[in-house]
Amino acid sequence: TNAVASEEKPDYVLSYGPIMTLEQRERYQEDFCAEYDEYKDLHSRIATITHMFVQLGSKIKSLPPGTREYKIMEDQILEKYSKYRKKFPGYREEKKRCEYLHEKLSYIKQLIADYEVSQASS
Amino acid sequence: PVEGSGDANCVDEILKEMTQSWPPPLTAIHTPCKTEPSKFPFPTKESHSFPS
Repeated sequence: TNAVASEEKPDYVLSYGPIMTLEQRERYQEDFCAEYDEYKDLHSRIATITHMFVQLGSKIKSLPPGTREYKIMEDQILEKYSKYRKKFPGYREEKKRCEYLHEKLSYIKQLIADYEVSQASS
Repeated sequence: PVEGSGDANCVDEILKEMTQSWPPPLTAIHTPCKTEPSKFPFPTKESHSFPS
């Protein structure tokens, strides 16, 4: 039964509760900052690759299948893909890591925002 | 479209994987990182206490 509970909630939900004190707020912010650079770096790298493939994808969709141009685009996509797999062998893991950091940092940021609101209104 | 043409299928899968929508980056916290922890931009000492 314990395994089910931990599967439902990500680890950061368990380790970061609502902020009660200013010290806690500072600590949360430090944790946020500590991972934010890594997150931003991963995010922009993945965004660049995604953008490139979105463009290739829309190009190939504009071509009639079976034509020479279509085949050339296909080859180009395959080539770019294998190039990127070589350049970033950990691409999938990095993407997962980035998605995890996105959720986690959003969560911490929200807790800080909630704290600010509660401070402003008290 | 011919069923079982390995290449096209592969390209489809590549595009499916590589063009998944990617959310815009999360912005930093309003208070910039690397500020002195002791300084706080808002007056926190004495907030006006309203008679309730």
